[in-house]
Amino acid sequence: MYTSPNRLPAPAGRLVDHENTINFSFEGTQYTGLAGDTIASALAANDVWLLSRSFKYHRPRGVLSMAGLEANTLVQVDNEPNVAADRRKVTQGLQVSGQNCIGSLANDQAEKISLVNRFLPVGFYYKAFFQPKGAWQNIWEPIIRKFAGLGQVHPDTPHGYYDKQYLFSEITVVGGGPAGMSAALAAADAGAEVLLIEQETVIGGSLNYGRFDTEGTLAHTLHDELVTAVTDHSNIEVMTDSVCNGYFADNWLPVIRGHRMYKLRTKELILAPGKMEQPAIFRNNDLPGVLLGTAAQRLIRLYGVRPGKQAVVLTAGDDGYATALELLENGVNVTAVADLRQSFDATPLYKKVLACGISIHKACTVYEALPDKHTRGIRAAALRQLAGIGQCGNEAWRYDCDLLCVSVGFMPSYQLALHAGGKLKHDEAVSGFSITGLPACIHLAGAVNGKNELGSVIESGRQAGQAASRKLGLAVPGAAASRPLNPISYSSINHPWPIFPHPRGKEFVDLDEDLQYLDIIHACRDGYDELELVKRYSTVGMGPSQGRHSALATARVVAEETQRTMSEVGVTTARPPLHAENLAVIAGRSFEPERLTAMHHRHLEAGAHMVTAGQWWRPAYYGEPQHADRWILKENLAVRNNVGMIDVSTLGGLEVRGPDAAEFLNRMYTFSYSRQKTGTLRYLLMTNPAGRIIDDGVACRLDDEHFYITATTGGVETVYRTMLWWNAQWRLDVDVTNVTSAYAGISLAGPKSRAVLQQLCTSTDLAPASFPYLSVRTAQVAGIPARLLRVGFVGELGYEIHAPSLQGEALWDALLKAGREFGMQPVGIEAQRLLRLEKGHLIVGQDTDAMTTPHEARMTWAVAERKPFFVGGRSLQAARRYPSNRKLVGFSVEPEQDEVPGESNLILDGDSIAGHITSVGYSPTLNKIIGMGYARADTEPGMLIQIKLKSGCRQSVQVVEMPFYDPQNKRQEM
Amino acid sequence: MKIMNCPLNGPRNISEFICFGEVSIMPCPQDSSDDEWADFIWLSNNTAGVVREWWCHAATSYWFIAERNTVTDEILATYPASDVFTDRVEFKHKNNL
Amino acid sequence: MRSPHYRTLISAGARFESCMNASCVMDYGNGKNQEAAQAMQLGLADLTPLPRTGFKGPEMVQWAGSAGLKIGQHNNRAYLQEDGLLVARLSDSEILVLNGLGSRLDQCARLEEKHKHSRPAGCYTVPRSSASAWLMLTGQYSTDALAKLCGMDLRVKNFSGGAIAQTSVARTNCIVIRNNMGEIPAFHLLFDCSSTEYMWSCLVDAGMEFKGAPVGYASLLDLHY
Repeated sequence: MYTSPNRLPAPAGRLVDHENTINFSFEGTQYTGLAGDTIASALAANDVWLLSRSFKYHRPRGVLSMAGLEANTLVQVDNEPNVAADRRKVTQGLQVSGQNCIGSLANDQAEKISLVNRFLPVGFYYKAFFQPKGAWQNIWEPIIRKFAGLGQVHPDTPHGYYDKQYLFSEITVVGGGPAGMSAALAAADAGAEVLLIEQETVIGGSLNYGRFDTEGTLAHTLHDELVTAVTDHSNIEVMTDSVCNGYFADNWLPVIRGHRMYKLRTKELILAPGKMEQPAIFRNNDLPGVLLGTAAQRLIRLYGVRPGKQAVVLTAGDDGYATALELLENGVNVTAVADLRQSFDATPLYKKVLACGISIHKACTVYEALPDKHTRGIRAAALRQLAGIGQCGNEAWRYDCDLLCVSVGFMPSYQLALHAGGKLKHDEAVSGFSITGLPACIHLAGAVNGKNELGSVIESGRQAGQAASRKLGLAVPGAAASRPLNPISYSSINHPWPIFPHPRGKEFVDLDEDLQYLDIIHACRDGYDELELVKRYSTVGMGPSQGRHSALATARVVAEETQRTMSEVGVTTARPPLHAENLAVIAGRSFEPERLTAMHHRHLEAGAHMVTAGQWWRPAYYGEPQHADRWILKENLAVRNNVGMIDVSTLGGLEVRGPDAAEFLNRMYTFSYSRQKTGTLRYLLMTNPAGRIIDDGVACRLDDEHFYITATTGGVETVYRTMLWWNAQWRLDVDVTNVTSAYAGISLAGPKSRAVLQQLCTSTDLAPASFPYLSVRTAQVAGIPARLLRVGFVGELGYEIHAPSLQGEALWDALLKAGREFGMQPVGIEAQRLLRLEKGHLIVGQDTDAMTTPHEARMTWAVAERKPFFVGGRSLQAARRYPSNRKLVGFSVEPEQDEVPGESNLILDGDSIAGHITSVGYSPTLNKIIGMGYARADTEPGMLIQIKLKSGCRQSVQVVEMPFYDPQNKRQEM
Repeated sequence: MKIMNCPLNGPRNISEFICFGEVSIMPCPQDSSDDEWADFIWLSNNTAGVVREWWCHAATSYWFIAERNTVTDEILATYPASDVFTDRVEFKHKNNL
Repeated sequence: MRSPHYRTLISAGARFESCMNASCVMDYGNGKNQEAAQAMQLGLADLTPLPRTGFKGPEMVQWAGSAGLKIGQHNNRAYLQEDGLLVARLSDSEILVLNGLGSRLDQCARLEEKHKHSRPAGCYTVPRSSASAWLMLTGQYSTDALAKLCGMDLRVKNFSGGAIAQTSVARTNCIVIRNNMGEIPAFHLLFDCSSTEYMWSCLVDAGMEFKGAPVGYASLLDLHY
């Protein structure tokens, strides 16, 4: 039979299954909990309250809110650090341990640090570790990290499957409490499609655990009514265990559930996130056993756990009396209630508590909680009479207790509204907040709308639901008569000053960051008197709770210290994420598109080493990487001596068609195309409006009104888009179509390429007289319709064959077979780069940069200056009057050296920089290292230029004429 | 994520679009001075307020014009480029500058 | 002619048959009923070997009319022709034409012939057969699977039969056409053919949760008629 010291019988414990036990361990000790328990509730049932050690002073900490809001409950669960013990459910065999302690949680060696806390004032790190230089990284940080870490991430943690999904809804309600449920029902009744998002495992919110009346039945009745209506409504979809973690423009919401992030777009958004109970500030207010009133209520009603044996309640309103009754009815001996208020109406709740014979002290506070050395919790509460606001008098009482419940006020859960641009305004009269300035597509319901009394909370939900429905154009039914509920009412939702400094400190304003009352005062006195500065200087509100429990108190202390009002001080900015989120959730399913050419698998089968070029995969060379040089050399020589084939499918291809096709190319490119003959090729050089080279290719004129043009692999998307952009303004009669992927491309190059191609191309005469250099033909190659381009990028007789991509693999196979007797070799892009370097051909983006003009690249031959217009033309015209101080030159070096020039090595002009090497490599044909780079504009062949090598040494190299190989271009024109 | 209304494709996540900056009218290449031309090429207005901008819907390569308030990031209107650029543009032959 | 990712299809158990000069996946050897059930749940079919074409240019609408294609005035709508051809109007100046499912004729080639002979000014062909891959996602979970890849609301109430979205799917430009098969939701997906392996793997991954699997052309024909 299962028993635990603090477990209450059903019906207490709405979320747990009293029949179903779960075994788990904490700090190496085995415990038994119930299915539905959180780690914290299961431990509490076993009378274990110490869950963690605080960040700075290693003070013992336990449950505060039971809502997963603060660092107090962060534990290590198996491989996962920083798990909120009051949110994570226990499962069979779960291994849980404490974090941030040296030794065990119960005997943390680092606890001694709190003895020296007066030497760790706010801003301590900034002041103490600033000097000497380097001390922080080398000495202090490693030490402090050890003390101030949270959980452990194990490098061998297995990968999880995380993903994302888009989600759409007409109306989304965030928060499934009374306001949210009533909003969802109103909207659904109007016919809207409603998504209700609730972070707990069940909807119902405070109706699940709260007490609103003397009998303790109102919540139960309303709960059954609303939850049933919501669950049964066909227009409402409920997502529980789901956290809406931020608000982004136009109602775009990240909703995290388990391993998945939903990207939710909703037309109308209703925010009903409820409110957050606030702690009181007194000495030792951070110890285990000091609980918010709602936390005690949650333990009892949600988990069936008695929160203590003997309790004192600190309150400033009816909530404390409701808590006291809950405790009494569930076996807790309530010895005293301290009420901060001087005078108030005797409400039914108050009268009932009084009738139970409990001492009620008016105008009284808890001045100090007395620690229990053995349990690490508390053993008594010291009460003091109040002499004025925040002033403790001399009259004192002391009550033994192991539980101290604090119910002094609430803040609305304002964060999402503030993400959306809302402003939080403080109303001094009622110590409450209101939110203004939201976009019209957001509606507030419940506490964030300033409603706290249960009836008005439900009514405000209904109104928000109807307002959102009206925005969608839906007809909204008339209001039904609302039923009087007579629950707890509030004259003010917050006590204005539940802050009681103690001469010996330890009254924590921010539990996560271990900040005490004086720390905030000192931050102000150090000159950081704006709230945002106080935050950054002291780190208040920067911990896992993100100011949920500290923002209000901090603002009050700063206001008091700087003699301003709360409105003047304001609150710090709220930004997403609302709750800490696992990086895996953000990283999960990221799309990295890949593009493969039609011959991709043939390359893999041939042992190619593949590299990426943007989204494309291309073969660098054929062979394993450790002998890369050998393969590149072999492929280079194959092209020079026999024949090679290169997959050039990634080259951009565009069809330019229409009566204005030639005129359009005239405007887009530097050359002239009006008189280009059908069946010929012409080089294309594109400059941007500033006259800088941005792309190149060739134009094939297929007929009067049809050009097939190529563009660089990386540039074609931009080229295509830019062309459309210009023509959106020029309105020429031309159509541009991007056909890059429609064509597989194979470059066949080498002295024997004609012989290879002729075998597969029997009906077309390839003889130079009928198919000369720089011409284009359409032909059948191995029965595949193709465009043949006679180009010379690598400086040998060669053909580019462009064929429909679905037949690319068949074409590759046919060519490879036909080339076998000629020693044909597949060639990768590394060898291709070297081959073109030997020819002195530049690669846009490698040998040009964002400022290279055709003049600098010595390509003025490709610029038709007499045209009326081309993009970049006017800038080049101006540039001629302001000559450049650099140009692209070729150089060569003997190969036998200790250190050879590399790409990006600087080219010097005396002690200043003239440019850098853009391409360099060993040419087997020339037996020299050859390269290109930018040198002074007056550099001429025969001169020496200085290169600064990687090692820092300087080397003089000789400038030579380009091309390095076959300067008369005889080989490519064969 | 903001929503932008594409004149061709309707309302879409703004990640589907590319912004190409303010719509500026190119001065006549032949008649403008170097200074005027340099101003056009190198200087942006960076207007704080309502501007007309070029936007492109990436999936369709469709160019259009948006009026956007750069202070509030509010998109006021979107329309096809042909609403603004109605006529064919010709360039005259340059007179040997 | 084969699909760019035919190796992937083979390893999934594809059985090919020749269909209009191309090698098309007819089934995955799972039996007729099971494949039909799969297609009704969540099926991914490769239609890349089947004919499709496109026409584009300022005079496209006029030519399409003269070629006997009936297209309405709305862009981003697909118009089903009497002979089964599906004509997707992408803009005022471009259409995409998909061969009718089940048609034994290469209707697209006929249309291209017609275009070639009439040599219309201001209307040009787009080589869709070689430029775009063509997949079809079918079944009751197809919308849910797409919701993992595409940021548009493709649920039937907002994206009904014949609706077209030219959008981003798995960060790749894609034309999504809803073409339900009777009561069964179905989408044509057309995208750059060089991304076929990538897109296929994304769709398979997105469909795992819903027990999605590849289905052959045969199962689509069964459901289509």
